[in-house]
Amino acid sequence: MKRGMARTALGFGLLLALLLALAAASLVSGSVTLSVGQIVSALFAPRDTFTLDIVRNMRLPRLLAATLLGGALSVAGFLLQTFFANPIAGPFVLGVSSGAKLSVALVMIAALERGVALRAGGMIVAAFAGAMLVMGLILLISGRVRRMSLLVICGVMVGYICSAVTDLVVTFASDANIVNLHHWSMGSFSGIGWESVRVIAPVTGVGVLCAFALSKPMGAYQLGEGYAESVGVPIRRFRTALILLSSLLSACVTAFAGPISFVGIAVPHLMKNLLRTAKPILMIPACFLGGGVFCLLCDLLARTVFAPTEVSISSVTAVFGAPIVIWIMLSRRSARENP
Amino acid sequence: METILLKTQSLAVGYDGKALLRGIELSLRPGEILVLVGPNGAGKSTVLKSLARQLQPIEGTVFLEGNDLSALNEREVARKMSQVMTARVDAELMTCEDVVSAGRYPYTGRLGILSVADRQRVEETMALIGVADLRERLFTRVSDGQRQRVLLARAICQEPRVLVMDEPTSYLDVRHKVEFLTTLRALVREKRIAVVMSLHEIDCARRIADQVVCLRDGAVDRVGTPDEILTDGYIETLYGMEKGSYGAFFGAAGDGQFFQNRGCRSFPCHKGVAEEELNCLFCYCPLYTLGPRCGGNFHYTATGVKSCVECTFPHRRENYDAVLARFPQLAELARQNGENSHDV
Repeated sequence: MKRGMARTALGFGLLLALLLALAAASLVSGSVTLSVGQIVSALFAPRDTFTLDIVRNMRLPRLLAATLLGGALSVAGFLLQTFFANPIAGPFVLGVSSGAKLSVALVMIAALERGVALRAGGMIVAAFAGAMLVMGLILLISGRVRRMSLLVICGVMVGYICSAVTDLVVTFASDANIVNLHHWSMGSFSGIGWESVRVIAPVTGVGVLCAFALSKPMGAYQLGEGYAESVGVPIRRFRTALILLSSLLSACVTAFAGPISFVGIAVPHLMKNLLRTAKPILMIPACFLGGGVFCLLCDLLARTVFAPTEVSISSVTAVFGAPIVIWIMLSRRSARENP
Repeated sequence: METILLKTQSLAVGYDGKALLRGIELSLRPGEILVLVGPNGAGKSTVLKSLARQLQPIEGTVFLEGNDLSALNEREVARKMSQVMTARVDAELMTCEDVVSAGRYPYTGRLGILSVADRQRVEETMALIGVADLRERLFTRVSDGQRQRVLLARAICQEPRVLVMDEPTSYLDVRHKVEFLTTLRALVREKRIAVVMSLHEIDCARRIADQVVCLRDGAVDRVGTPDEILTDGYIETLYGMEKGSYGAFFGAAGDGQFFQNRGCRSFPCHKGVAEEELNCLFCYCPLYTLGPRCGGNFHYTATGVKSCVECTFPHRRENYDAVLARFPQLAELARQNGENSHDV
């Protein structure tokens, strides 16, 4: 008991420290390197308008967005893993992100054709609709196939179909904004401003808080549906809430940063190993923090490694995330073979 | 005059609106154990699921302490009834204590944080069922026998009046079956819980049940005390066996404690069954628990099950003397393992 608590405290301390360190590093580095002194003076005694502009209007909102969206994506992944009782379920793998992407791309192009710019709220609504559509499809499939690996394969296929259609749509779209759209459809945190952050913060905040409020029934659900029901979990309502929340969170991420791969699987797994527990009451805050750390790190790498060229965020998250997924599958297999 | 905890009235159960079994009338008082027996596919699990509200009854009513079960809310039911079902529990990174604590769900607050009283209840229950030393162990890493006791502790921790169990002993070997059922009986008498469960083993049913309900051909065939009902002749009828075969087989074994799983597809014992299907610990061979010292040929399968397919020492009738001669060794082994140790 004591040991567990020390581990939890240490784990959360580490996550917070990493988050702060990475936040500082993100503010400092970029195509223009700034010193800490410059940043502090720009923020508190604004004379140097150039630095102020970079820090306040570019790096700070991007930093906040990466943290919040990373956290949201990891929590969404954890919710889906709990729902499907499958450690490699996640918004990207199940095609939910790609569905949201397709829907946003379609709505965006339709809006542009009519000369209307899509606002942040509209993007979320479009992404949510796409996410829910794919989710519905996945639920239909999961009702028919019991094997979880098959479900994941179906999800990946649905994801490919959605991505292919998106590419097609993007290719034939006739607007100058196509460059933006293409960039977004690859996944990136670049160009996120305060207007977006003002929408991202409440949506992810409410979503994650609601998920946290569900941690008690989630804990019971981890023992299986039958047991959850027998201890008094209103199973239908609970399952619906899980699906809606995970779709909302992943839709929010996709609306602003495009589809980001593997974060939803890798982070919950890392957190489980860090804290040595799967209890939702600890995992949800840990996933939120851990997702923030993971995405900040990946974003930092995406914009600094090949600076001034930016790599798409998914390329970086895949480099770190995909090996973790392989690790999960291998360790689960060996656990089953030598019980 | 004691209250009736669980009662059914002209209950019909089944799937998709089609009744599989009709006219089920059960009635249970505190401290009573009711055992459902019947051949595979007779609908034992269906009845249990309907009692536990996992299935909607097709007709009729289930009364829990006099209230219509379908009219109660989730929490009310959870505080009165708990279950041990056959579904595999894959509790990742959960210690046995965590699993038992899950039984406190109906009593904890919004976030499910255990109070001091809750923790105490968990500790008491684990001690009572003899799994206190497993507290810190991961649930996925303990043996089948231990796992089943932890699940029982979880169900008891929920402080139910009624406990519903679907074949709680099916994956246990003889020793763990006996241990499990002995613990259960003591617990039920002490806590005045009513138990409804299904069992495959007629002889276990005979020893533990206060009431036996036999299911056959879509109906309740007989209800009564085990002594009234479970005669050799009736068992043969119930399971559709040849006249006299039950007595001939088990009579020779003395007390008839083993080899009773007629539903086993390798019955009578070790007959041409694919190895990957072995999971029944081979028809409860009385010497199975002796492990490598049982005296027969065997090997361990990829899944870690001791396979006796090519046993040279089968518990066939002509071999009984040799098998019986090894019984003292079995007792010796049990003594060596003692009360406190658990094999993994």
